[in-house]
Amino acid sequence: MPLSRKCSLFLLLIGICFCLSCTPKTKQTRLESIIIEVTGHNFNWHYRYPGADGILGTKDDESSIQDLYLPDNANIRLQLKSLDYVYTFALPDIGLKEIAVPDLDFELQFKTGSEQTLKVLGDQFCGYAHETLIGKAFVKNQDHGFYSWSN
Amino acid sequence: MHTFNKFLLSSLSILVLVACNKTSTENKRLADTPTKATAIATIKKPTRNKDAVRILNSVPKFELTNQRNESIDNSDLYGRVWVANFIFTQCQGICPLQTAKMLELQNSLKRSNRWDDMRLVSFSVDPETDTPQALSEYINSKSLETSQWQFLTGTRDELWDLSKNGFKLPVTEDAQNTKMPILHSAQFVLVDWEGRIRGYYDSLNEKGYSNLKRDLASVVNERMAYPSTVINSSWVKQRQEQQIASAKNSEIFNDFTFKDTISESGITFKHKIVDDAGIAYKAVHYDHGNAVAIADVDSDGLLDIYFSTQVGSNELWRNLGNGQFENITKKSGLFVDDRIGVGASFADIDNDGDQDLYTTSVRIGNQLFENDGKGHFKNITNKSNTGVKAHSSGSVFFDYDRDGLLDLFVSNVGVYTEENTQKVSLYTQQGQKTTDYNFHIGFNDAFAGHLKAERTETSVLFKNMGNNTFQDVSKKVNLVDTSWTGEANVIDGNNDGWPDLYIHNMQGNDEYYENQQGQSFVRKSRDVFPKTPWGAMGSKTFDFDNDGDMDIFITDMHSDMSKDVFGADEKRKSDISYTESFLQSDGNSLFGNAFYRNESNGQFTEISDQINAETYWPWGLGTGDVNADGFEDVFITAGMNYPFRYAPNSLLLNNQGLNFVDSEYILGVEPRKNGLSAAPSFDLDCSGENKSHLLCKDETGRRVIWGALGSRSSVIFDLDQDGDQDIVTLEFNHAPMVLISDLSDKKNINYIKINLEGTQSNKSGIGATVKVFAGNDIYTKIQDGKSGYLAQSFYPLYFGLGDNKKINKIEVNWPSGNTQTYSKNIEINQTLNLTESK
Repeated sequence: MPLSRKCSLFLLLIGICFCLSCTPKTKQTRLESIIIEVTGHNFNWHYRYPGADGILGTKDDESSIQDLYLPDNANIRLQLKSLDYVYTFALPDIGLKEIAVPDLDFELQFKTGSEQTLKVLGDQFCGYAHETLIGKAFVKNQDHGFYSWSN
Repeated sequence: MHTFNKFLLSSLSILVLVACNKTSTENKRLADTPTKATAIATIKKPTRNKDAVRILNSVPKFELTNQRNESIDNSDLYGRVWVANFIFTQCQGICPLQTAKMLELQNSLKRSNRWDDMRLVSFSVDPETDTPQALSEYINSKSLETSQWQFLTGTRDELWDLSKNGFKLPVTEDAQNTKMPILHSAQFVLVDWEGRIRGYYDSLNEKGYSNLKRDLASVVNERMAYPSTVINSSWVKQRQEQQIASAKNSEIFNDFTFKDTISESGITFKHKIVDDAGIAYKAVHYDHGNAVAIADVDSDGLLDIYFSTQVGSNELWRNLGNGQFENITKKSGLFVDDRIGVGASFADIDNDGDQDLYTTSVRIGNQLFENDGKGHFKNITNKSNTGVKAHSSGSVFFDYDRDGLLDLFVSNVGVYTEENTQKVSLYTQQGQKTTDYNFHIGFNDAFAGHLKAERTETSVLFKNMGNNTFQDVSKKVNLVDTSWTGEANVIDGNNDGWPDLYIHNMQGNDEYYENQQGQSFVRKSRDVFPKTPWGAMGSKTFDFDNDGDMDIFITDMHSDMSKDVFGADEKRKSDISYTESFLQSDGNSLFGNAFYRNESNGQFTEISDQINAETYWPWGLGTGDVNADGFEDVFITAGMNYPFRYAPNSLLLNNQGLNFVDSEYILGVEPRKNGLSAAPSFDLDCSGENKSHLLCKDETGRRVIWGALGSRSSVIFDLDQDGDQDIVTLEFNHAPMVLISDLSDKKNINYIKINLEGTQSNKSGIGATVKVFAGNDIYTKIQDGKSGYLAQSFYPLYFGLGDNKKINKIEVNWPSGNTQTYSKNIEINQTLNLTESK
């Protein structure tokens, strides 16, 4: 058997196993609302999501950097924090903007629509352009579970 | 030569070590980089340590004439890397060969994409023969292209001295030698961006020539700019052309220019900054910089200049007349280098007829110095109780209770630094790092300090109790202000004779406190000024329209930080991008400069956009009648320095009290001398301690980062005593500008300068209003000493009189309440001393 066919078979098996093991998860309930922690640190956006238990600060929290994931048709609360500088966090496509300051709490609340991709713009109050503060917010269809992006 | 070889050898061995250390990491990088071929090529190339080009001594000051009969000095070559040699046109020995070699070098360098950064300079050692015309003929006979090649001549003394003592190259006469009657060196000399000699090369020897080219390429690479466009801000030139074209039909007199004479003034002060405003830039209030203030400290009739700095000692420069100054900082007792300086205010606190000095600083403590009238100062901080330890900024002396003694208001910004200190990274001219100074590290989130109650600092009102002691009466008189303020301004807004206080908030709305007959203050901020600049920096009170009352011009820098705009947008209010949660404006902020026209009934109308008072990235302003037409003009310092782009200063000519006309380019204030818009900001060792710096990415060796030039404070006065108004600036991280006006050479001007001497009032007459009646005009000014940004000065009031050749009378309203009229034989074009009658 040529090496490539061996690999394909192996991958196919893996794929079946994977699908079998994750089937129950696809039936999870749609998120009506979510609280996501957005932290500016060293000119990057760090996002923390509550994970399956729906509670922030527990072991199953999910995370992403630079790009933000949002469930579709849900109420969103972004809790803005900073570990160093003063940042501005903006979703210009839907006209939202707020600051993130160390030791202070700021929040953005909005409702998402159907699946789409939004721009995330970040700014820090100095003369440098920080490309790492610019990213995307993916509003994800929840049919296969919101956290499917993290697999 | 022996030493040089040894030097090369040792640097080579260092190089080998560096290369060895780097290999493993470089290989690791290679394993996962797709551009393997390029990377391998980089490694194989001998990586010569950029630091190998030594820094030798600086080329001393020279002022010579070129082949086009233009005057050329060091500053014309500043910001270029140049190669110099010594020649004379009659020379039949090595000179023709040298010139041929220089031409070969030029042809080779022309192919470089950095050719614009390079210059060639041939100094004549036979200036008697080598007149500009002879040099020009010599150039023509050899068909040389000399747009970037200067042939310089002058006096023999100057040129020989330059060769021998400046460049350390021998030159001597040899009358017996007809081919070479003057013996001189055949060395080519490499000089860097900042006028420092970096190497000597035997130009007629191939190895020397190739070493020169190698070192030249290395020195050229040392300079990096951030942003990269800051070096060639060609738009400045375009704006100059536009403004000059638009001014052709102007009815305002503008046919005169300012020339920066800093290199002739003798002033060698250079402002120095802390790391948080340069190499480790962050948005913290350190970038606001410092003051320049003036007063006649030694009672010799000439105004002396005091510059403050963040690092090292502030400096006092004594005016010697004829535009020359000498440094008397140590002699005067004002040498203090243990704190980060900010503001400076002169005032006569003890009514003894001389100007004392209050200086502010960050955390370590403000200081008060008593002058003995001869320019010797005694530190009386402890005795006076004025040693505020805070993040102090501007301070202003005024007599709030009209008891004849000047009181003091000290603006405290808010806590923008942490307890911890750090060494200042400072490099000597020779590129050696010094670590003599400390600074308190700025908060990374300082710009949001106004959102954090625990960072509040209260400003202080000190009452002068006499005998050089002061008492904090802030609470007693109900003037407890917690604004993030950098400055305050005094104005009698309700015309009741009691000076009121306008406090600039640089992160929020301004505050205005009405003085209740010297007993207390009542906050009337939004009642009198419903909307104020959100990021107020400087201000000046003056009569813009000659209607007899005082208007207020306030600059706003912080609103312009919200977004970098360009061109016409710079003259508009900022389209603020900050959120209300940050601004806390309650809808009461203007996002740009404000101009409040006094309606003479205790009300003010904001008219900045109607009269063209909007400017970009402004700090403070100074006023003066620079064209002596009887209307007060405005000079506004601007620009943010590294890591921002260049922003020009503004000179607004007052158009008969109707509006302002942009005139900085017409009057030669912009572009700056030699078109410079950038200067060295800081040094980086990209192979060593600064390896991880943002700008060291893909760089090795020594790099000098050039950033935008930017002014902070200014003072407008008649520096050279020729009757017109000159301007001195405080430049951030650079030497000041001394802008001398040639107005009085261009036009017969009419003016009068007035010195006040109070008797019942404070001796300096601070708080007095002076009205000069001439023809049908009435010119009104207040003596408040306010000058530029973060500063208070003491200097005569200057009245331009337009076409009026006769003064009918002068009326003085003294702060004591006395009104006096002077009408006998008042000559114009003089300094008049008016004393309050007892």
